[in-house]
Amino acid sequence: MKRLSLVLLLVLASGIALLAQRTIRGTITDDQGEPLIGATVLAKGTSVGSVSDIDGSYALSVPEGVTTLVFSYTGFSTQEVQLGASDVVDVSMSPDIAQLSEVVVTGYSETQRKKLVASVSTIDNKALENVPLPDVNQLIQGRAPGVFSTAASGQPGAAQNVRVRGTGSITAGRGPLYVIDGVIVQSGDFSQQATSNDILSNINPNDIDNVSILKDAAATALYGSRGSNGVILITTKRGRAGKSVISAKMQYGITQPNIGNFDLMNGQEIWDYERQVLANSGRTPEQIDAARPASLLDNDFDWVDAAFRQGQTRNLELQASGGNDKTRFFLSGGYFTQDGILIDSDFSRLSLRSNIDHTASDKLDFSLNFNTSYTENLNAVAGNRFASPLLGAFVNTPLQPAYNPATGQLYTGLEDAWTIFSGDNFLYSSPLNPVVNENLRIIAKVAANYNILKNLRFSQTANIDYVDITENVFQDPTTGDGSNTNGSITDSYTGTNTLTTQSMLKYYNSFGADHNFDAFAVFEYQKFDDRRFTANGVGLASGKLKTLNSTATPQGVTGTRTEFAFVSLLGQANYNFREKYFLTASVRNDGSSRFGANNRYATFYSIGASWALSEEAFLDNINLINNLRLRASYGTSGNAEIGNFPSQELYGFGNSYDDQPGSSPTQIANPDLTWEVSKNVNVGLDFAVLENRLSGSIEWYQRRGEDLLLNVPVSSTSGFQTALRNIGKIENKGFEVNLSATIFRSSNAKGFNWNIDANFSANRNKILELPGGEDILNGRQIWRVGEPIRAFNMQVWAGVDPANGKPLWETAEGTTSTYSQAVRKIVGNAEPDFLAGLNNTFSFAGFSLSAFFNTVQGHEIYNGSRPFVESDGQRYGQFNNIVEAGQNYWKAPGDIALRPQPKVGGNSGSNSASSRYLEDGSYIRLRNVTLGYTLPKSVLDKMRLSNVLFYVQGQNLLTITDYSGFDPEAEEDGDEFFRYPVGKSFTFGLDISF
Amino acid sequence: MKFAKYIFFVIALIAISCEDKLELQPAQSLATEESLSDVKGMLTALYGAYDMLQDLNIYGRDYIVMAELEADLVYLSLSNSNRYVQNYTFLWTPDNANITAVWNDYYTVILRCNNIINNIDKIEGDAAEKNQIKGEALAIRALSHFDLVRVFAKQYTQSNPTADLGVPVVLESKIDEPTRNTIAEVYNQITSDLEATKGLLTDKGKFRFGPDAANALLSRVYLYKGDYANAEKFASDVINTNKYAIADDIIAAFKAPGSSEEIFTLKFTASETRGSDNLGRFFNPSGYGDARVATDCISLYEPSDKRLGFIYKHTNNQMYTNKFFAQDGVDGLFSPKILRISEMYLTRAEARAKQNKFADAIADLNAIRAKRSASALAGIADADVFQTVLDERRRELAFEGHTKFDLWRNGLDMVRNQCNTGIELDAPCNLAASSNLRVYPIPTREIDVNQNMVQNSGY
Repeated sequence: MKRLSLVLLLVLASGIALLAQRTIRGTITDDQGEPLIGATVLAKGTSVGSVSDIDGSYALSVPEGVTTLVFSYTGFSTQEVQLGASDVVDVSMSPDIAQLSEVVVTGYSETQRKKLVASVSTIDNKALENVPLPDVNQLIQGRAPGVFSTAASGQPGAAQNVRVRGTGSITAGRGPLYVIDGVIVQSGDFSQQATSNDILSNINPNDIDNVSILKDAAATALYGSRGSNGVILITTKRGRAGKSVISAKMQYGITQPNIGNFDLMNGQEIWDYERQVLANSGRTPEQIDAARPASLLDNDFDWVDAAFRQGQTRNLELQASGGNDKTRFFLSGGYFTQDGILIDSDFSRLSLRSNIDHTASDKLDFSLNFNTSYTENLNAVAGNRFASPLLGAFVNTPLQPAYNPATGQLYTGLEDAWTIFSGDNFLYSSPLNPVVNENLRIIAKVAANYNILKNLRFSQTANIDYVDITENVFQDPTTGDGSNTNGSITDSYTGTNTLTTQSMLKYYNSFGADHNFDAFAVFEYQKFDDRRFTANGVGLASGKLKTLNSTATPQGVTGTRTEFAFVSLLGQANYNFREKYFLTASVRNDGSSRFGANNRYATFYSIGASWALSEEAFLDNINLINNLRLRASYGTSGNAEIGNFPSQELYGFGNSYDDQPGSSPTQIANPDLTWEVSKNVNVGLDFAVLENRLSGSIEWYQRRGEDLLLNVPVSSTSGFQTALRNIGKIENKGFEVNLSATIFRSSNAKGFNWNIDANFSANRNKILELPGGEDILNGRQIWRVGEPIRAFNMQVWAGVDPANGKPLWETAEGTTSTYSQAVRKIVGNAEPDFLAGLNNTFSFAGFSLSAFFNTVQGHEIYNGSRPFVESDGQRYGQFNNIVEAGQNYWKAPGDIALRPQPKVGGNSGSNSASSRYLEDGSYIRLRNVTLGYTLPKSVLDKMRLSNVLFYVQGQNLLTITDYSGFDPEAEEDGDEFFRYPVGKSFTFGLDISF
Repeated sequence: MKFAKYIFFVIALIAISCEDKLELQPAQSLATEESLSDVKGMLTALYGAYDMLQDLNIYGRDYIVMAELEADLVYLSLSNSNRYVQNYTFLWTPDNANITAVWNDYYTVILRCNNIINNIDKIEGDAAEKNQIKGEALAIRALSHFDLVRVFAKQYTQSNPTADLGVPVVLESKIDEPTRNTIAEVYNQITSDLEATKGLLTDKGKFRFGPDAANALLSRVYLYKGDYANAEKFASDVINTNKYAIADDIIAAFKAPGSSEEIFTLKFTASETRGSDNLGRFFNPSGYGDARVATDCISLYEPSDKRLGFIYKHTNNQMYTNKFFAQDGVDGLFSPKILRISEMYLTRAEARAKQNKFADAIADLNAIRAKRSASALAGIADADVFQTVLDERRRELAFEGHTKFDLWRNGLDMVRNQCNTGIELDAPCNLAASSNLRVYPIPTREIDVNQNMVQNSGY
């Protein structure tokens, strides 16, 4: 009952029934006198409103007691007009330069920028539209302060990792919560076979109206136990009353491979180098000639060139939107294809969307969002395997030709003449062994809204998020992978279904002219269900047979099912005094099946306030300042990404012996196990000065994660290696700056304009508490109190011993050539010191040019590819080498060399993990340049078109970095191993609106 | 207002009815109490223990391959897949992943056994069935402790067993920081677990631990312990059952599990293939083919010896073994013959030689040699019998994961006569009996989390 008291309060607090009404009419125009179509007019303090029609005219039945009308339109300052005796109210609206009345979506509701007490970054569709990348997560990189997006792979459609304000957890989920049109949806990678696939790549970025990123607790507390890593709100486009607009988008582009500073040896170079390696190992000239005869140079082969290609991107899309004051619609259909720069990898998406709103009466309105999309992803033999083109390009020595010189046929990799240990020639096998991921996603939402009273509105929504993934891994019997099994087929199916219902009551009222109040309460239920199975069969009579039915021997079938449920009650109250002092309080109670029986319900809250200093009399006279607002908030949120059944002591049943089912302990009991808590402080200052020519905000935050869930290492004599505990604390603190400047503003629309948008953020991450204060090793990194979560902890490279050419590592006292005696130290951090984005936009006479840079600075990357391709002979005969490996190595006593003497089998383990391969990962990247031209109105009118835009666009044209690997945009953990690089792309596009 | 009340009522109703929606149970797991509540659940848990023995890091591949690569009968090819390089070169560090995995895996097997042994008396059910399950769990636990102590501690016969450290004996698996027991304490637990199976076990076929397998393991343990009388006795017990016979066609016996040779075989079904990680694919040129046969091995055999059929020359002119070639036609699939009757003859021969029963020892060897088309041994000087037994043991059990231990426990130097000729990975050509490298390091991760853990000397 306690949980419901807020609802009860709201219901009881609602006002008195409606009485008599009067109808107000008028027209709404812009400052030039042009009619504004689809502007909103609202009777202040009620939900009664209307929109302007094609002539800009409106009519509104105003309830008794209403004294003010509120007019709003995107891009224009909201205007309030006192009602007088006249029933005609015409309004001329002025453009909103400081964007104070910009509508900011905050999840369960929306508000104006000026009323916001929370920290919310917004990215509008201008930054998202027409960029030739499939996943919205890729588009937000560099666009908002404190938001960092990385990916393990540059393959189109690969899963992206987004971090909002640093890494807030060690073992539980670290990615933000995704909300589309108000409903929490699934995100991440649900594939079983493909290396990675982001289900968010099913959303067409061109359907998105805006993206809001909730960062502080004042914003995320409403998402309770799921909000601590930030929330990304995606709002899709909706129709607007007025003339129907039909537009077509066409885009074509090419992508060129770009492997950065990574430069491999050619045939001659590797031949020379390896002969030297043999000589260094004491081989006789005869042995060297036998192992590396000159004849090898007759047929050397450039594997990198063969593995990469120029890819194409195509996009074709139709959008239609429009409607009247009763019904509004937005429809779109798009087909997007993108080739990967690696052979046999591509992505395609067919997406359909319809968003429909219908106002049935003053009291009742409905909406429907329906999105269906289908993606198909071809993976180049599932990523980082030796048989994949990605590794093959670097594994395969140029001395091994792809084609048999005698026959001209491709080697399969099974021949004796094929010397590469993977036993596979990717040029032969990749086309024959596709890994295909097909992904159908349907997100459908129906909402009904009823205005119970003039200021009390009830909404009921139901949402289904359905993801259906089928994957197929095929291994042709004639290829290296397929030969063991005489051909193999693996089919996987993943079906996830998330059902969400929301019941919401919203109340708003003004008490006199000074006191404005609104509040809402929501009951939400969400259930997630995930079913999977995989079947494998081997033995194919021919590689042309493609289904499980044609396999001779069934090999195994696995199936799993998992579920979770959340039952939540939440509410928010907002109060402001004369729109000068703002106060917001939020609370959410979550019950979840994931939490232990002893801790099933969690409550999170926040409180925030803001003060519009610029509205104060004492600042009225200072013309310099157009807007000045101070914001502060404190609150809690949680992280429930802890697995679905983490608290139970369990036996699992996945194993078997001699065809009999087996079971084994899989989990130690921990009934106290529960969510992680994040406590957040945020202080912000919003400003606009110099006639709004310079505006922006500065924020400082501290985000402290407590009760962190940790897999605490235990003695494996227990039969377990780790046990899960709510133990540990972590802190992220930092500041963010967002600036928008009008450098040059022309008085007429066709003149020269220059705008700069910039953002900067710096985050410092620190572990505050670990179990027993003891370090936890995390591969090449360490979790240590006082250090950031991504601290590299490894042997410290001390160069080469001039006396004998052996490697040296640091010990406590000096140096050693014995790797096992070297000590590990913290030598770097994969978390960047700061992130920044800079976008310049110029426009003149129909032309527009934008250049968007982003930079990530001050972090290290472990270049895990180098130990393979710069191994000082340890990978002799197996791998190609980078050109540098053959330079500056030790040759004779006294040499001060960069690299040890290369020998067969390596030189004293010199390529073992050490700071030798740790590099500065900082980069500056020209992420996007777009040059566009919009046809003049006079021409458009003749062509009876409403808009025509031509543009050319370049992605990643320039990268400045010292990093020696393919691509400095490494994975979040800073550990790179032959990452699929992103390419440079050039795109041409045409948008036509009818 | 009426409408508002109605909404309030609906919300309250939903809230109440949702309470039980939070009680979700996993679909592929069961609570521990539930899964071990009856005989069927216990039997399933026992299969879970066998399943863990099949892990890649122990009997699935690593434990066997490592014992061979650290000896002289095979070599690691210069061109290799970078597997077991540290084993062949003796350059491992305490964080070596394979060594760490051996430690972790066997204690996981022990957990699976302990949960059975410590709970089976609490449940209702047929006594014979319960005894059988408990007996098998005891035997698997003994095998696990034995496989741990013979790699993470000095050999019993080469140590001061009551003072030198063995491994922790874990009889109740819990999150704890146990100390290392002495080598003698570990061996005592192994023999007492195996003795405790007496009367519990009946023969359930070659793929599960039966009474003969328990005796065969006891025989091996006593041999390692230097208790030659008991080693001989238990070997004889197994031989005298007459249920097992030295295979007439040893080549055929290695093509499929279940031959007359076998006492206990860890069976891998065709569907359990690990593809390129199958044991045999480390030896087969169609797989990684990194472990190849050294001349040290080939020179052991007379030309007529059938066991030469396990060795062949590949097109690259290097020698490979096909002992683990392709069970059920699956490349490299193999069901390790963990205990087989020829080993019992060899163990008895060695025990007899140590007890100066030289003629009986030679007779045991000749029993095998007769089936292998090798000439009968005669006129061996007493002083040479022991070495003759060891040679036969190397011949018969080559590649099966015994070679290293037979050298170690007898305090013999390991000498690779084929070494660093240009086709092998560069590596030491011998390892003295006194080397610290005959004992693996305790894994770093264990030292890190267990304050009572003591590292082996030299690491």
